[in-house]
Amino acid sequence: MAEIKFTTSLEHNIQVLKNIFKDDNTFITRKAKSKNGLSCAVCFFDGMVNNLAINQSIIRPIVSCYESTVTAETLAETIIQINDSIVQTDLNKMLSAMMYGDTVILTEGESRPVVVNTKGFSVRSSSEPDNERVLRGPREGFTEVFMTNLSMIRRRLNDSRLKFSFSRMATHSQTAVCLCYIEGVTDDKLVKEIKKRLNNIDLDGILDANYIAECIRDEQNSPFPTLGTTERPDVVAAKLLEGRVAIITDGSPVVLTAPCILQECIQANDDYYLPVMQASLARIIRSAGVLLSIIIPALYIALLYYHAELLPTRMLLAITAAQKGVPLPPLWEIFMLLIVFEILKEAGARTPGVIGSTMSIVGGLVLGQSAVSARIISAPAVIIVAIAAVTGLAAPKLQNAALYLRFVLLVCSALFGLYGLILGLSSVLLHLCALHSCSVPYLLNLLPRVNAHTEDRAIRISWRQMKNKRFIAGRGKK
Amino acid sequence: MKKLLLLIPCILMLAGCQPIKNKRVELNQNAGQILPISALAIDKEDDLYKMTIESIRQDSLDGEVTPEYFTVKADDFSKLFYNADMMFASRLYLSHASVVIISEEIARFDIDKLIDSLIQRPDVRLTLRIAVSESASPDEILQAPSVTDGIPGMALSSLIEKRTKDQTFKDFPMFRILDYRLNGRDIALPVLILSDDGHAAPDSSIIISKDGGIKYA
Repeated sequence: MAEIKFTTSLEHNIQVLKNIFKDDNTFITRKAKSKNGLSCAVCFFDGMVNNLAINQSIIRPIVSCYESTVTAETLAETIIQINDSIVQTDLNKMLSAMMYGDTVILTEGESRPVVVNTKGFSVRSSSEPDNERVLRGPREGFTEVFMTNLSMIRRRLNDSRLKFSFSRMATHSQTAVCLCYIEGVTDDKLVKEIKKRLNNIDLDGILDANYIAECIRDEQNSPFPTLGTTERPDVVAAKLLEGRVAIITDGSPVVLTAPCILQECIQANDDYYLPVMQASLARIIRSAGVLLSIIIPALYIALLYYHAELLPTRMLLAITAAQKGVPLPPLWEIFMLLIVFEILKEAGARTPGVIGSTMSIVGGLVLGQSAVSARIISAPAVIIVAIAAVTGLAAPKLQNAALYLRFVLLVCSALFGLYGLILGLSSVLLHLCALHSCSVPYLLNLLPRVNAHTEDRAIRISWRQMKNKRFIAGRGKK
Repeated sequence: MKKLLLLIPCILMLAGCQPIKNKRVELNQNAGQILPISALAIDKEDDLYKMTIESIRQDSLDGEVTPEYFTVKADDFSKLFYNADMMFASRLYLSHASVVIISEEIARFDIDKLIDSLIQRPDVRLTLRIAVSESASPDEILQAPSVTDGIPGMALSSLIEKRTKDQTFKDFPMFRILDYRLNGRDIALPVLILSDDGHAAPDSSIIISKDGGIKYA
C-alpha cells in the first residue's frame, strides 16, 4: 500500500486522499463546518456506507457543534454519535477500513483521522443453503457478510471460551479471515498448526474459502475431502463443540472446518435432528449408496465380461437381448454414459432454475429413452449409470471422490474382472488408511484400530448417551 | 518405494487370472456375442460322436426366449467341443447349461472321456447333470416339446432337479460322478424317455459300474 503522511492541514490531508483515489469516482469527500468554525472532512466510498448514519450521526453533530477546534479523541468520543469510532494512527489500516465501508473524518488542526464504522453495503439475506437442505432443523445459512456470519456462530455458542482470531490475508484483496475455536475443547496443537498454515498462504487475492482450502488442506492429490465445508452455522457450531476449528472467510458463505474425517462425509446435516433410529438407518443406507455408486458400473462390466456365469440365466439373456444391435460394447457404453451424465450434471448446475430442470428432463429422460429406442445404447447400461448417479447423491461430500473412483474401478474391472475390482477397492482402502487430516487419521471412528474415540459411529447414539461419549477431535481414546 | 513393493505381490496374483487359449476376454466384445447354451445331447453314430447343442436366445425385450439347435460331429469329445466353438462367431457359453443327455452306449463306455472333456472347459459348472436317453435318441429327447417351459433343455433340467429333491433320482451332478468314478464306485444316472404324447419324461435310474455293466433301478 502507498506510503501516506497526514499533517495538521485539512486541505493537505484531503488532497492526499484525493491523490490516492484520483481516478475513482466512488470516492466522496464532504466538508462539514460548524457555526463556530470547526472544519472537518467526511470521506467515504459511495455505495459502501450507510448514508443515514453519516447524515444523522456524523455530519449533523459536527455542524451543530459549539467548539471551534477539537482533538481527534474529542471528535471520536463526544461528537460522533456512532458506537464504533476510533482514532486510527496507522494510515494503512485507515485506508483499508475506508475501502471496506468505514468513514474517515479529517479535522482541521489534527493529523490523526477518526475512523467510524458506517458499513452499509447491500447484502444477501440469510437463507437455507441449496446444497445442504434438511428435513428437520434450523434453516439458516451463512451469507457473504463476515460479521453476520460470526454473529450466527456466536448466537449458537454462548460461551466466553469461544474465540474468534482475525487476520487479513492476500496482498491485494486484504481479505479478512477468522479462525474460530473453543478454548479448552479444541486441541492447542491443532489451533497452532492451522494458524501456521494460514500464515504461510501467499496469494494476491482471496475471493472464496476454497482459495484457503487449497492452500492449507492435507493430501492435495486425494479425491477425498480432507477439509470440511459447510454453509450452515448450526453445523459449524456442532463441529466446534467436537473440538474442530472453523475458518470463516470474508465474502464467502462457505466455512471451512478442520480436521475432516471420512465419518463426517457420510453424515447428513440433519442426522442429529432426527430420531435415533431414523438417523441410524439413514446413515447405513447412505453408506451403502456411496459404495453402490462407486462399484456398480465396475461390477456390471466385471460380471458381463469375465463372470457371466454369476448372472442368472434369464438376466444374462435379457442383457444380451438388450445389447443386440447396439454398436458399442458394454464397457464403452458405460464410459460414454458416465461422461454424458457428468456433462449433464455440470450443465444443469450452471443453468438457471427453470431451464435447468427442463434440460434435466430433456437430457435425462427424453435423450435416454430415445437412445435406447434407437439402439444406440442398451437399456441395462442406462439403468446401471442411473443407479450409480442417483446413489451417488446420497453423500454429496463424496461426490468428487465417487466420480474419480467410478472410472478407476471401471478400468480395473475391465482389465481383470472381479479380481481387478477387489484390487482397486483394496487400493482405495490403503489410500484411506494412509490419509490424514491435520494429523487425525481419516478413518477414525470407522476402522477397529482407530475407532475408540466415540460410540457414535455407523449407528448414531442417542443424545442421552452422547455427553460422555461424544467425539472430540484431537482428544485421546475415551 | 513401499507402494511399489506392495504392487509386486498384487501383480503376481494376476498370474492365475490369465485366460486360457481362445477364451481371452476382448474389451470390444458385445454382450450380444455370448451364446448361452442350456443343454447338450450327445450320441454316437458310425464311430462318430454327434452333439446337438440347444442354445437359448432372446431377441426382444419382452422376455420371450426361443431355443435353437445345432449339430456337430467329431471322432472324439475334445474335437467335438472344438468344432462347436469354431462353428459360431459368438462365444459358446456353457456356464448356464444344466443338463447333458447321452445315449446308453456313451454312458457305459465313454462317460469318463466325456467328463474329462467337460471339466477342461472353464465355463462348465461342476453341478451339470448327465442323463441317459432310453427308447429315443438323445437329440429327440432334447428337442421334445416342453409343456411348462419354452426351452426344453431348461424344462428337463428343472424336472430332474425336482425329481432329485423328492429322491426319485439319486443326486449325481458331475462333481459326484467324477468322485465316484475315481474311487471305482458305481454311479446312478437318471433315465429319460419319450412319453406317448411326445414329451420327455423321467423314467428310472441306470446304475453303471466301472466296467460298463448296467442295471436299471
